Amino acid sequence: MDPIQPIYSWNVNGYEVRVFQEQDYLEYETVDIKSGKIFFKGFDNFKGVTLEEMLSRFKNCRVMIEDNGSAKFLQRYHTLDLNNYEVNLIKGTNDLIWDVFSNLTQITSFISFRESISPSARCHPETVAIINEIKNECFKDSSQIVRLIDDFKVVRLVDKVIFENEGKKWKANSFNKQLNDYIQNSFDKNRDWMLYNSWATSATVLWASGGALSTSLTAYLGTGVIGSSASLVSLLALSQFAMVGGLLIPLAYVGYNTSKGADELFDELINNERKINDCQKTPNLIEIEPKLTAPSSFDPRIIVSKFTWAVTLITGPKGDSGNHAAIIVEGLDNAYFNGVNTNQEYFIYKSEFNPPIRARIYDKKKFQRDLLIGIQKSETWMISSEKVEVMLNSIEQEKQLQQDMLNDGEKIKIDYKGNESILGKGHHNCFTWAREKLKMLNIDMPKIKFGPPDMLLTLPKCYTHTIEEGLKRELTVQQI
Amino acid sequence: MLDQWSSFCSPSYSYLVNYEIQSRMYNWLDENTEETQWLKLPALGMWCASNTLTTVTGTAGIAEVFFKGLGILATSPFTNNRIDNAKIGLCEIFVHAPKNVLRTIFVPIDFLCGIIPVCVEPKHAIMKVAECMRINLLHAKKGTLKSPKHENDLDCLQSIVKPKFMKYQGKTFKRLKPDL
Repeated sequence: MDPIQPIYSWNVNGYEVRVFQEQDYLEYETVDIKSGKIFFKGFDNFKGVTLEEMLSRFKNCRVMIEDNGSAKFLQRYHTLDLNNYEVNLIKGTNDLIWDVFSNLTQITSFISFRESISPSARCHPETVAIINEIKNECFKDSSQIVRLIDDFKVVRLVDKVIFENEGKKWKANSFNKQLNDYIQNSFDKNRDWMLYNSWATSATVLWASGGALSTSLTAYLGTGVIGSSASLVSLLALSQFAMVGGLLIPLAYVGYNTSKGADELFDELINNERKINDCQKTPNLIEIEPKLTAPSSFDPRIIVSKFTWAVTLITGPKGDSGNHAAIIVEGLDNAYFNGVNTNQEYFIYKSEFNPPIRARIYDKKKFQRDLLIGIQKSETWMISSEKVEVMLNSIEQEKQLQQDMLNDGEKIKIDYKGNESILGKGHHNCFTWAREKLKMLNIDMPKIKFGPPDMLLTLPKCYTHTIEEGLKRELTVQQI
Repeated sequence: MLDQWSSFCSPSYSYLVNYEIQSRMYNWLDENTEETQWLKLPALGMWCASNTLTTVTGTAGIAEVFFKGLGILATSPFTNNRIDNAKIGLCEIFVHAPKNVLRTIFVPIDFLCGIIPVCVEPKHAIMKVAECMRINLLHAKKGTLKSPKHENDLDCLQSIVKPKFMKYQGKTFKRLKPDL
């Protein structure tokens, strides 16, 4: 008599789990492949599930073997191929689990989804927040799993070697960066205080010691030419010392406070290092980031996603000598432009005060042509799509308002000098309008070229540079 | 009545003639320079000519207003509203005529200030002056020069010219890169 053939079988870490169909139930056995001995025999009790349903579930499930050899048949959501690994996302009893099969070692390991999932270093804080939300809710809410599968991709599996190598680099970079930032902020914060105190200290030193010195000199040498000259020369010399001393004393005070703060920062970093060492006990981290990304049309180093959009202020090619400003938003559509773009399609959206306000998708061909003719740009800011949407909604509302005004026969006023000009009547020009809108995103436009003061004339091109110049500039941390 | 009139410019045929001629000049230039690349020279020429014309008509306007005021004042005893007419005559002589003098003095300053935009973006300057002249002509015909309505219309000038100019630039760029 022929032995009964299994209907399904899985190989897991040197064991084979075979499922056999008996008349109206399923039975499985766990077999040690090396010895061929049956390690465990049993049947899975699928409560309330028909045999047909069980059979169809087996097609899409992964097996986890307990210490005693009993098997757990877990539903698989997603499979990924990552270099030397095959990664499956499966549903455990209390949490989602990553089933990681190494092609090199032929070993399958099971990692807790919640503990192992980690946003890649390129992720924007808002994207990290979304990942955390998915992490916490996806076991209960299956829509979050769909979101995870649709919108995110696994970048890599971080094993202990990668973790240790990168951890060292990260620690060094992080410490240097944090320390530099801290010192810079400390001095920036105290700049006015130092300036005021250096003058105050200089004046006090000069007044107190100068008075005493000149009194004693005139008392000793008399009030004649020699006495007066000596006291004048000594006062001049003293004033130099007082100025240097006046500057050094507050500088030393701020320096002392800064170094104290730096020590605290160092302690904190030591603590963080301990935390990192603790983390190393976790066998693997699975780094994820938004699945679909696209490079910015201004600078291919800038990557946008549906969660993080790039906001840039441009000038030109239109306007007086290219002095027409507009806000450009680039990103992957997240259904904000419903009906205009397909979901996750790269878009360029242009908002400008012409007048009236115009806000529309920038035709890509037209954009390329305008780039050739001469567009200048500001720095590009990476902002979460949610925040940008708030700004775009505000622009849309203002646009509607202006349209109503035009329909009523009113005219929208614009002043080339800008709203800050003392020569004008406080009306916006294209740039000051855009700058006000960007303030909604906490963007403060820095002036980067020499030009007239804003109180006379706000010249948009003073705030932008050429695309080529932008490509030469060092890019801050990329966030998607 | 005098207070109300004092801020206005007296209806003047010299001004009307000036705006009539300049409006035609700039509209002609605007229409005929749609395809032109080299605009600076014709625009500068036109700017010089129009400012000369403004100076001439402005000077004529001073004489016109003065004599008009003198005429109204001299004929006032023979009219029904003697006092009112005399007031209007005095206003023309002592308010509007000096204002016209100031306006004429201001023309060379305006000329110098205007040279910069004419050189930087001649087409925009042409469009702006053409629109400005259209508004001025309209108010000169109505006799409401320098009235609040006129001031308001001039305030909105840029909002009319800017989109027009941008449209013009759009067409120019399309001509430059027809394939894109």
